[in-house]
Amino acid sequence: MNECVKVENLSVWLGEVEVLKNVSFSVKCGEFVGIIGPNGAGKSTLVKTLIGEISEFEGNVQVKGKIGYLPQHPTVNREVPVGVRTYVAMPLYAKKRRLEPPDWSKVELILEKVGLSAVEGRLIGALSGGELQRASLARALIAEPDLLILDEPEAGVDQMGRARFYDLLDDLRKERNLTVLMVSHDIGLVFERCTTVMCLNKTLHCHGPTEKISPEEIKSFFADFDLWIRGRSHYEKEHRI
Amino acid sequence: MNGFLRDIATYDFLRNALLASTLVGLSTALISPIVVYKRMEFVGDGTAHAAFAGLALGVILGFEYRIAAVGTAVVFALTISLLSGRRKISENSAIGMLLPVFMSIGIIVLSFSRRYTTDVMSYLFGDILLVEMGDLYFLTTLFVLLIILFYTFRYDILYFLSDEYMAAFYGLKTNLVRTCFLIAISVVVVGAVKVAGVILVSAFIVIPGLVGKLFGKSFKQVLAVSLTHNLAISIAGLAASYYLDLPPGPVMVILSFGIFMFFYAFKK
Repeated sequence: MNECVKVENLSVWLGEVEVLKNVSFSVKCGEFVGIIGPNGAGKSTLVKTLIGEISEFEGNVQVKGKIGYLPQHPTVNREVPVGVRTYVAMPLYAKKRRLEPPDWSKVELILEKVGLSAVEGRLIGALSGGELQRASLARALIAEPDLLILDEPEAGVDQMGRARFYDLLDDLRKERNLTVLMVSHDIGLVFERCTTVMCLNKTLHCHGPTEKISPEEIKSFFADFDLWIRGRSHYEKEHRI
Repeated sequence: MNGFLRDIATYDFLRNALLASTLVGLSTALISPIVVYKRMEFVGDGTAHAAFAGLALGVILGFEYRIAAVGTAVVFALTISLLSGRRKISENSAIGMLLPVFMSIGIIVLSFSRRYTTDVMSYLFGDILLVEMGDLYFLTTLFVLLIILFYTFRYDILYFLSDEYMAAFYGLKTNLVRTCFLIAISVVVVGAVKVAGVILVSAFIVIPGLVGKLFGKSFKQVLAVSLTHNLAISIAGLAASYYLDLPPGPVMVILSFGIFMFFYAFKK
């Protein structure tokens, strides 16, 4: 498999603080990578560096192909009366000439794919948290990305909504050979859904297939953090600790 | 009503006043929803006060006051953008700091004029009966330009309003949209000064957008309601001020606020 992301000796300073220190890893195309780490570990900084929002860093970052991105918190102003179709069409509009309409058939197709055909006539402000998350996923996918980056997509979505979202993500990933890089606080979820896990706390502490990372390794790294406590019941059940 | 219509037909200055207030109403109604959804009400107010410094300079130095006012308003808007862009000063703090500075420059400059009190009052509260043909050409050109820009960049504006962060991620030039919008506010404010004055102009910029927000189910509807509201208050406000013998700008503002409160109170 080819490498879709390659990061070498990445160090990022935010003001006086070194948020990422000498981080190196690569992601093969088609992998589903879960990035876990405590608060302040530099997960979101890594994401922002990969998407190009942070441009001042040391080291080398290479991303092959187009990136789709779902930020940590929905950035949409739900007061503005924007329809679901228009919301999803944003990446198409950004590429076309000003007076040409976007390809609405493409929008309808992707909305059907994420199960939002029934609400395509609604305003974005009238959607539930889970529906908004799927609309944002549709928007990320309509640009036909090679790499999808999700920054804590489970935030603000109920259990049912999460399960539906990740089932959908699994289907789409297999169908499109999509590479997914997901930051999460939910360690159980990462071990349940991802093919690869990365433990980050300013430096990279572990990186490998989820079935090959030992529970002791994760436990020793996260024992002091609430992240571990929150995810442990599910994780213990799975790994019979 | 007959008297008002007859005098409109008879007197050029009254006809000009009606045309000017209508054009100002429509131009401010176009930018109002953007100001309201982006919570930039203070920017509009600050820009109006900054334009006052330019107006004063234009009057004292004897050159085209509109160019001077647009110049100072644009400098104000870009300075705000620059200061708040560095993130050490919030946008509101930057405006709060610069607004009285520009206003003070205007007052000091105008104090050198012999007509100090008259000039200050007419620029602060508007003097619609002094509208000239030059003002009407300026306002008409401004309104036509705004319509063209709004139509051409309607999706850029919509994405700038609804999700600026992701719009920038997908390659829309949101910084350019923001800068153009700040310049548009500056020019509209200058156009509106004779009708509303720098103190009252923020009511023209904020209230129609709020009324539009109460009723609009789409951005097009919000714009339509905002335009209708300002068109109605421009005409009705001038008529009311004619019959009540009161200054038109303040009458329009009170009427506009009254309509907003009525809908706000009774809309389910």
